[in-house]
Amino acid sequence: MESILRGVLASPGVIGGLVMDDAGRILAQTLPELFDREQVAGAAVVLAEQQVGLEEFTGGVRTGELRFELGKLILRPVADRSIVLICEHGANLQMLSIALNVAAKKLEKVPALPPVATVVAQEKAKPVSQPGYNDIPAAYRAAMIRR
Amino acid sequence: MQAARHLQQEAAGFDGAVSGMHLLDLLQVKGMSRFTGRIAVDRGAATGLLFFRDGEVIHAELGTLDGRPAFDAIVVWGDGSFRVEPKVTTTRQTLTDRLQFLLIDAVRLQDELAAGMPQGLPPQSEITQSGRRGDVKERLSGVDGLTDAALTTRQGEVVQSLGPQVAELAASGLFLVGTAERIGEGMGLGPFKGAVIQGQRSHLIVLQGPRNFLFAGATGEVKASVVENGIRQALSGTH
Repeated sequence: MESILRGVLASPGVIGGLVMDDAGRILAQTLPELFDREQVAGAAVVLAEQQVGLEEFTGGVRTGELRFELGKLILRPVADRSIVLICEHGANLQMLSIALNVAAKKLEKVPALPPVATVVAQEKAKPVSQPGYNDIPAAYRAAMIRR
Repeated sequence: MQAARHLQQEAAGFDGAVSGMHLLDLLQVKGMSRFTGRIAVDRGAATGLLFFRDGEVIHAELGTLDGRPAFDAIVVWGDGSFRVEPKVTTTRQTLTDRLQFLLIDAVRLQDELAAGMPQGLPPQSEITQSGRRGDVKERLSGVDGLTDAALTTRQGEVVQSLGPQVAELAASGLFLVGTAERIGEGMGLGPFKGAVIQGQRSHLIVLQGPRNFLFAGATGEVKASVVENGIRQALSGTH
């Protein structure tokens, strides 16, 4: 799943990303080190709740774009999982959409989830290479440091 | 000789198109040249009037509005035509801020409108002299794919609405805002600014202004980006 994520991360303006299940449990992530893993995990759970809450009005979320002061978050559900990307404001959404389609197709082929505990254990044993500090936009870095 | 010709032109006044020269640029030039007189800006049925004294805007009028609300409503117009009338003056003073401050604020206002944030600008009925209604319903009713719209306060009170599913739309929109704020905090992305959720059946678009949320529901058959662009154009008055 991380290799799938890395394919999308190559798109200009993408800061990081994660794959989560429909309960918001993180299955894979490639986020800069500055991100607080615990807070990101909490946000992922809220994101999953949000999808469920919007089901009635939308008939099911196809893609979501949440805009914030320091960037935007793109969500693409794929069966019982979702790809979540954190992007700069200037990210080219059309290009990103193509990359997300490719990633979604690949993710569909990835078999059923391993237990979360296994994933966590694997992550501890083999740290994922993270995008460098200097790859993160300055405004975002400043905001993360302030937190 | 050249100065004399210039003065002659000034005295006669001239017409121009705002699409050819940006209105804000014109105001800046008039400020720098310490202009005294009136600039009349026409757009459709509405005429906005900006009065200068020694390079500062001292009074603005637009329909039933005057002062800052009139100035703000005029400077966000994306097109129109203007007349510079050096001989026309007024004794009224409804603006006291320096022109540079007003211009900086006008740029901010334009940026926020371009980003789709409703600004609580005066309704069209106050702008056009014909006095026709210009609420959310009227401004957004022609947007392709739009089915419902709800303008709410930050507390969630619906102040204007359009369409049969306003209650569901506003509830979903407020839920989205509440959860997005928590997500933004968790991800370190800062305050929530807006959202576009593309659904299987319906899209949900959230635009945020300083005092309001605008929630828009659209049919899933039309691209959400098309609907969002339509809303932005309608809000900025170019629809």
